[in-house]
Amino acid sequence: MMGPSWLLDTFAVVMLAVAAVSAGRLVAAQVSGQLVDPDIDGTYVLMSIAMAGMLTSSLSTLPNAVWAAVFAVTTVWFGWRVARSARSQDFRTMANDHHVPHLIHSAAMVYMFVAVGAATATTGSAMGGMGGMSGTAIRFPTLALVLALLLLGYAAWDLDRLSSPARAGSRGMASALMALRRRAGSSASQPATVDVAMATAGATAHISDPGQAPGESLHAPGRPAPADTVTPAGRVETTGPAVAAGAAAAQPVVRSLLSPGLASCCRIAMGITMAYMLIILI
Amino acid sequence: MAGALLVRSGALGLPLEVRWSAVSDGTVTASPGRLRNGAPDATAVAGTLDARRWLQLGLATVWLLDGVLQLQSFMYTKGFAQMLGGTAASNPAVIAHPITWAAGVVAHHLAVTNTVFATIQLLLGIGIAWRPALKPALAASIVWSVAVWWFGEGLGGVLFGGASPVSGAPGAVILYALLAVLLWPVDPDAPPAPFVAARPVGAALARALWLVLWGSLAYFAVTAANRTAQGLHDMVSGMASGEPGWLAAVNRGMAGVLAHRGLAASIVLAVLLTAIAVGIFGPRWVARAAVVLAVLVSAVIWVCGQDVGGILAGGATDPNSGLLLGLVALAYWPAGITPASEGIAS
Repeated sequence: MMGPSWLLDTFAVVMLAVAAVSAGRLVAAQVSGQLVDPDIDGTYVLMSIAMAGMLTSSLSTLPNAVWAAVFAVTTVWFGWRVARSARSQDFRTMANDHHVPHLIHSAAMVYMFVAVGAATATTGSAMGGMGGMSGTAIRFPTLALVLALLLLGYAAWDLDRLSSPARAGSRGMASALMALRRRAGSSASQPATVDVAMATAGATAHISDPGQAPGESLHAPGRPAPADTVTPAGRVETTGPAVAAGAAAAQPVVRSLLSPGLASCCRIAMGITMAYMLIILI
Repeated sequence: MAGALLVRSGALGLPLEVRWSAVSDGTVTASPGRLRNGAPDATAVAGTLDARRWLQLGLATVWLLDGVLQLQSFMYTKGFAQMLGGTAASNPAVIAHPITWAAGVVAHHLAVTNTVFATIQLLLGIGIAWRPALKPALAASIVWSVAVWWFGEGLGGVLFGGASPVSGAPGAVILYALLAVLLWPVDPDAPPAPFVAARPVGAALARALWLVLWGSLAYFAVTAANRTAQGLHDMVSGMASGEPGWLAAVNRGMAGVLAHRGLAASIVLAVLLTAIAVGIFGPRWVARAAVVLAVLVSAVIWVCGQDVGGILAGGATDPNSGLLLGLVALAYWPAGITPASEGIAS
């Protein structure tokens, strides 16, 4: 036994919740036509289900080898995306790239499934979770520690960014620009990309502009425009139709599901859970 | 169509002017202006983390690691309570009795107490990383660290000569408290400081704390138990059990170097630690050299003497003192800290 069963079950429940939220984000994005990263949310669904199965054998779905292959593919995918941004950005921007943690998550998943697979091979169980690894030493424990430290460090960094003025600024700027865009009378059916050069500046959506009447509110304070997606690098992406119609039509649940903060919370929960799993594997 | 808009900083409430323009194809662009109060450009302030915030996040990461380590299966066994009770040995009665009592409580309620311990440590890490909770979390971490230093580490063995810088003196957890003090957020309008640790407590007190820390380590290096011919050798070679091959090989190599040279090694270590302790008072280049030396010594102690806290052998409750000493040292790196470059993290 790698830990008290109730503790493993608790983490498994957290992972199932992350899987449900991530699946909900995919559906919400499809319904509302808003831009999210389907590869990230899709990978989160897979990771969460796989981790829940690893934590609690009754939730096992696929053999370890299959999961290892799946996450090898996602590792290559996110590695490619990070490498692509590395070509065009400096190191700081690349480190801020939101694909880096997913690359680490995927690599950690490959490591865990390979390690658990090798350790449980002697027990004859192809789908054994951590519970079947009692007293079995894994290979390359140093790598497990390094990955755990990276995951926890990223969780701390995520928490910082989640609560930083820069994030509020990104959301506020997106709201401001959407409001201004409507005021400018641009075509509602025309997709547009808004580059916010100062998206890291701390700001909320308490907005005034030269044409604003006293007391007039262009957008609800602090609310991200429903059509925009703010990436950690500070880029705001939006689509025209959503600007015109999405703002009014988007349901609160959809808005909540698609909020970057919820995605960060999922990433933090997953990072801490994964670090826990790596530590108890050692 | 073009214009300017005024947005207000969420955390600082600073008015920021943003120039924007929209063209007929539906593209809106915006560029940063300047803070209305004449402060530096917002991107320069908010776009990067300052040195103190990085160190705070490092501390948060270590707390998170502590919390995760506390959830290991070993911590849910009687062995954990026995480990706590074992720190009472050789301590004065006034220190030892409360430790024994606390270990008894833990032994009787293992699952509950250990889960509470782990949760507290995870929350401390989360709180330090979550900006609105930074100050309460740092304050709570000081209280928690002092409590654990007493009830969990027996004050690091400093009262009975059992402490050694190689094995983790003065007790890893008290360094968390020291870091919480040195990294305490301060008013952005506070005067400039020569290094991060000087901002909350002032340069003189910060240097005094450095002197006490590294000076005490130098003293512990040459106490009777640590300067015997085989003292350091036995300490290092005893760490190899259960470690991965490369780390066990490092232990064996280091133990071979230290064999029958305990006194000489202790003196060399004490000289290095003394140089670090006093170096911070020297000119800028000397202070930098002292900090670099401190980081190097901490790294060597952490890897070769503490086996990265024994985490890889299982059953460790924290990464031990080497990692924390390195973080403390980085907080003393002389690099003209100004309010403008630090204000956002306060």
